[in-house]
Amino acid sequence: MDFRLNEDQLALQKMVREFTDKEVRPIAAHMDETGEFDEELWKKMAELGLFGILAPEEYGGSGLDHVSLCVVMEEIVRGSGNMYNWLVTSNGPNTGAILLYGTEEQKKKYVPKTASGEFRCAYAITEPDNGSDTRSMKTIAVREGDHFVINGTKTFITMATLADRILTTCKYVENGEDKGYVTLIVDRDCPGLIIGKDEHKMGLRGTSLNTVFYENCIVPAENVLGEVGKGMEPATACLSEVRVSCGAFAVGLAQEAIDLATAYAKEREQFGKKISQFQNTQFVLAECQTKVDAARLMTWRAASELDLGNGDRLYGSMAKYYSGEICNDVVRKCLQVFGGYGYCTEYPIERIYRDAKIAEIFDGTAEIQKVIISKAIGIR
Amino acid sequence: MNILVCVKQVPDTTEIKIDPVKNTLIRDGVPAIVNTFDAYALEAAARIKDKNPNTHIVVVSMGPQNAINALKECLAIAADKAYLVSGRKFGGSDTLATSYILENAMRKIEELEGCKFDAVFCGKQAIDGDTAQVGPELAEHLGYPQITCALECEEKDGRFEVIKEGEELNMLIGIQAPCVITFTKPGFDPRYPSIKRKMAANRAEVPILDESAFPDIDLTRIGLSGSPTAVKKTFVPQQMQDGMIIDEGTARTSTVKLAQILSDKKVI
Repeated sequence: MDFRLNEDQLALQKMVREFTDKEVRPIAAHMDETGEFDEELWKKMAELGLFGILAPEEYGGSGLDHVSLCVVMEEIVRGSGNMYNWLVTSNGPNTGAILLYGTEEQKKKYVPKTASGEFRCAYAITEPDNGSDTRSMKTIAVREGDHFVINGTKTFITMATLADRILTTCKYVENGEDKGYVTLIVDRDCPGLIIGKDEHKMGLRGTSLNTVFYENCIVPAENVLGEVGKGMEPATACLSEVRVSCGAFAVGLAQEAIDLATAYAKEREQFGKKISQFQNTQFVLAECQTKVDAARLMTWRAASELDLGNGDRLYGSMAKYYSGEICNDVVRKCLQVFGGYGYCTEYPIERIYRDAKIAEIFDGTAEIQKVIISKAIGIR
Repeated sequence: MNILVCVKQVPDTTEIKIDPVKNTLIRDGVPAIVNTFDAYALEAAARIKDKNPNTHIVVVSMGPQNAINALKECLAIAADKAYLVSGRKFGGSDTLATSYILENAMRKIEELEGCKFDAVFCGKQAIDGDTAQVGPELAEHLGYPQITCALECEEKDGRFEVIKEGEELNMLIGIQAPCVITFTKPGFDPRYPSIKRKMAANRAEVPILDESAFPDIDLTRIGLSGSPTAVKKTFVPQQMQDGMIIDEGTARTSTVKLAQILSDKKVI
């Protein structure tokens, strides 16, 4: 069993690492402070092909594997955690679900423009009263002739401010009766789509997190993704992929924290020597690195299972749950190495600490992952 | 439109450290990169190709076997084909010998590619040697007109319009093909390679042209023996002591003051 990255993946890692150091790191603090969207950076990332990593070449993507996506994700979030949002909104359901459930027209219409970065996307499942309990959602879609009408509210929708389209999952109601779910590709210019406020967040402040209102929002019938009544399928189809990306996000942040803390410890002197020479510092960082390496391997394993066609949610859930948990533990300990300076915004570790928390929450909380894992291992 | 871009793999000079004892450069472990100015040359060729997709870009490098890495980087960025010129007899070549070898390489590549190059693009200078001689020398060997220190270049109906960097003003100069153009840093950054091109470049075969590819090459003009110049030593110059600014108001009074100081120090 060879755990090493192959030559292509190593080349990709080096390429993204160099790009991150040159283009992402320098703007990370500003992005965090201002929430400004950097159009130039988006264009450069689009040129690299970072928004079409998984999309097949015939649809304008790079046609790479999930392990490669993990490698890219880990490297780029080391520059800024916000890059997770940029990558997952394009590489996640907005590509994957459309490829799995879309018509050929939908694939040709949406996937190339997503892969090229021309389209920015979001996906909307969560509601103000329905987070983990997605199936109890209250947003309703009703068919009227050649279109659907959506009414409801979605919340915590990443990058809705800039999205050219929002993949939206609703309850499907027909003649007043609940008939399952429907997922619709809601283009930005659909009447009745209103992008609400951007939440003021603890972390990942460089990307918006919006409430989205659907007020008699009219969506053409040809924008249904998959089957009417079975809309939960496209909504959940890419959850394993997204959770693997979450794992890579957590690993990337944690690794960056360790590297920053190590560099700081080698410079900082107290009591007549570098703090890196104290066994406590050494042991803390050794434990952190061990955990991160374990999380990385779990994430790669989950990605590899996807590449082998194994859609089993167990590995993705374990990777996300474990990576999110150790990420927060590791980042907290690494911040502690900095002492008082770790509390100051001048030091990137402060931002990483705030960014890390979401790893235990987004795209399925740690608790939901444990529900999935316990079901998979037969504990009921 | 066919463009040959000459590139050199060089140590990343931002990573080079100085040996505090010998006062020389420590090259071991320093990562290698595509020479910065050659990257600008490649970008210029790529921009011509953006406007005219029929443009065929070939990169060539003379160097050791591992210069294939730099060539693959160029394939990932914009080049369609790459060749490495590498052989024991080429080792130790100075700029004159190098440019002679590159002239021969270009003719050989034209034969292999079945085309004639309309232009040869080079970086202004290599960041390790800093001679800025190979491009102009190559032009002379080829008998082509040349423009150096180009910032930008456009192709128009078989000729090139070049913005050449000047000290105070830039110049717009037209030049007929075939020609040699050397590039300096423009106002924009070279493009990054795309993932797709990177993966394809990893798999690409780069033909290696050694001495046997050039049976008619004059062996007295290549390698150490063919090099009229040689680098004897590379070292960091000693830091000068803090200087002194003499400004007595006028050139005459300042000069008198300077003369007095030099006299007092018995320099004059």
